[in-house]
Amino acid sequence: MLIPAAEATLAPDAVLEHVSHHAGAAYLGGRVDHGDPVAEVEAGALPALFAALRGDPHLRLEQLIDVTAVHWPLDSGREFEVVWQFRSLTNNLYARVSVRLADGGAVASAASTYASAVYLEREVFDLFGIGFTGHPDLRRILLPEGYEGHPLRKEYPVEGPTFPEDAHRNDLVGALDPDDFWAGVDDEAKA
Amino acid sequence: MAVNAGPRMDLERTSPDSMILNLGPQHPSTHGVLRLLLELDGEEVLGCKADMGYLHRGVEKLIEAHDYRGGITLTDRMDYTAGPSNNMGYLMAIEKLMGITDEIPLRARYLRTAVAELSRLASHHIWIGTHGLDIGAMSAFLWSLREREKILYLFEEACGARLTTSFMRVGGTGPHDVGDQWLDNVEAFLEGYALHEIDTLLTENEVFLERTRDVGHITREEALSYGLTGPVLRGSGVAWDLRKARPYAAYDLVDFELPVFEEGDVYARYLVRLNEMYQSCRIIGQCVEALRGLPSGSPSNAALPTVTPPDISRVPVDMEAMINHFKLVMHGVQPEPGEAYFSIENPKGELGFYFVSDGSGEPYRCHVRSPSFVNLAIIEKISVGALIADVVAIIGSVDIVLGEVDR
Repeated sequence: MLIPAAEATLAPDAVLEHVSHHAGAAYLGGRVDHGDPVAEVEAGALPALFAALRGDPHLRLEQLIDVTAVHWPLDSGREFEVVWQFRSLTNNLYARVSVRLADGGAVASAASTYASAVYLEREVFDLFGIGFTGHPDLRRILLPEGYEGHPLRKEYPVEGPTFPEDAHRNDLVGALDPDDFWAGVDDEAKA
Repeated sequence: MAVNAGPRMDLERTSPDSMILNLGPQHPSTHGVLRLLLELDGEEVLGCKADMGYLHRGVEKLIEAHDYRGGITLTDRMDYTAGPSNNMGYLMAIEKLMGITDEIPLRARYLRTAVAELSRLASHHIWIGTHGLDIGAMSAFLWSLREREKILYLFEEACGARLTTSFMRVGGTGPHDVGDQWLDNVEAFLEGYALHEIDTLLTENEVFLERTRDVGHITREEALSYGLTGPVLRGSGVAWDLRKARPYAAYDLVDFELPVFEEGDVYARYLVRLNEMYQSCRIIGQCVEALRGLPSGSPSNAALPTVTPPDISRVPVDMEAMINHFKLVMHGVQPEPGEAYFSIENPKGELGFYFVSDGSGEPYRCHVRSPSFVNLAIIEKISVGALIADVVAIIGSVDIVLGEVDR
């Protein structure tokens, strides 16, 4: 039976040191945000970093619990932030790693290290249009095949792209002459 | 050879003689609108692919389009079997984003714990009932829903709604503090709670054992690699529970055990959930006792003008109170720019919320890490090699709810 540590075995700063060690020159900086270690790395460090984080006995980040992205459309050249969230059950640790990339870019898939990445990355691909190289089965997961656009991008309207802009207006009410209503109906039907 | 087995998916065939069977999305055993494509050799499953998204409502986009309060109403429509628990996760994530977790009064923490455990019972009753029903045990379903109904009455009494509860607010209980009468009713419920009836129907039932033992085996390595959480993980010999490992609300103040089973089959997951329900009763009992023990008049909302509106009687006579009221009504809560991830142990596993704030009243980004979505992936894996009838047992044992998978 796997009994997790009652408390986190490393402080957030120490977790960042380990991530920094594994990422090497690709480590762009880290911070402790609301008590959680958050590291930013270059996309080139992946996917080797995934295997290193999982294999490091001090970290042992066994689970990739979440992959998501944030769209910053005004930050030109690095519009997307992809966020991976890891958890170590053995050491009771949590870590977040993020990568910035340009619109239309792709990052390495974590699927060879973590099986959970298969679904999670498909979701990010589906809703943001971010590619994952090395993913075994990268296609839409929540939206139907053939759907156009990626709804969680900021430029995508909440109402959907086909929603008419004037749908809330009801100009036709009262504009129609009641007599015109019967215009197309022949006399027999009217009787 | 790729065979187009439906409008949305290709399934790679492993054998030219196999048959493709479409299970769902309208099949009662798929617990909603899950569609499974099965490649079959006789009754044996050679391949399995899941198709989802039939219930996709764009919850994340909608949360980003409303202020923080508006999102509360969307969260209980994800895992609709445990609405209040989803509300708690969402609220506590905002509290972490605002850095006010330590300001939440004890009364609200106990009440949140009690309500979360009640919704765990409600959710597990749906699961135990439908899981039994799927494999031929009808009585468990009827008795289970009878018990669940009592819990829904308690929710209705406390907040006015049974399923889509929108329970509590950022900073405490909001308007949903409960009186002594509610605590009496919870105690009466615990006294008359007939979980043991369902226990005796299923746990040693020969047919049930035949259908669930050594079926749908998940190894510990698979459970870790697939990111499984909740009872599915604890049924594979990993004693991980956020309530123990990273306590929130009042879980560090109550005493309970963590049921863990090594076998990793459908029966082990059944035992985990069943024993968890007995533990939930213990937790609820302790919370009720603690709530009674609190001095009368203890606050149930944090004394922070940034989240808690002033007493309404002061608003017409006190300028400060009026400004505060106006700001909260018009703009809601406004966390500082930053990001935070917070997760709770929902009945189905780890429910996490990842928020990015730009300082305004609406979340810039809200991502929901839903346990059902992540846990679903294992069905594709463990169904291979099983019989069709076992697939039905496996889906039930992973306990997904499609409202949460598709969001």
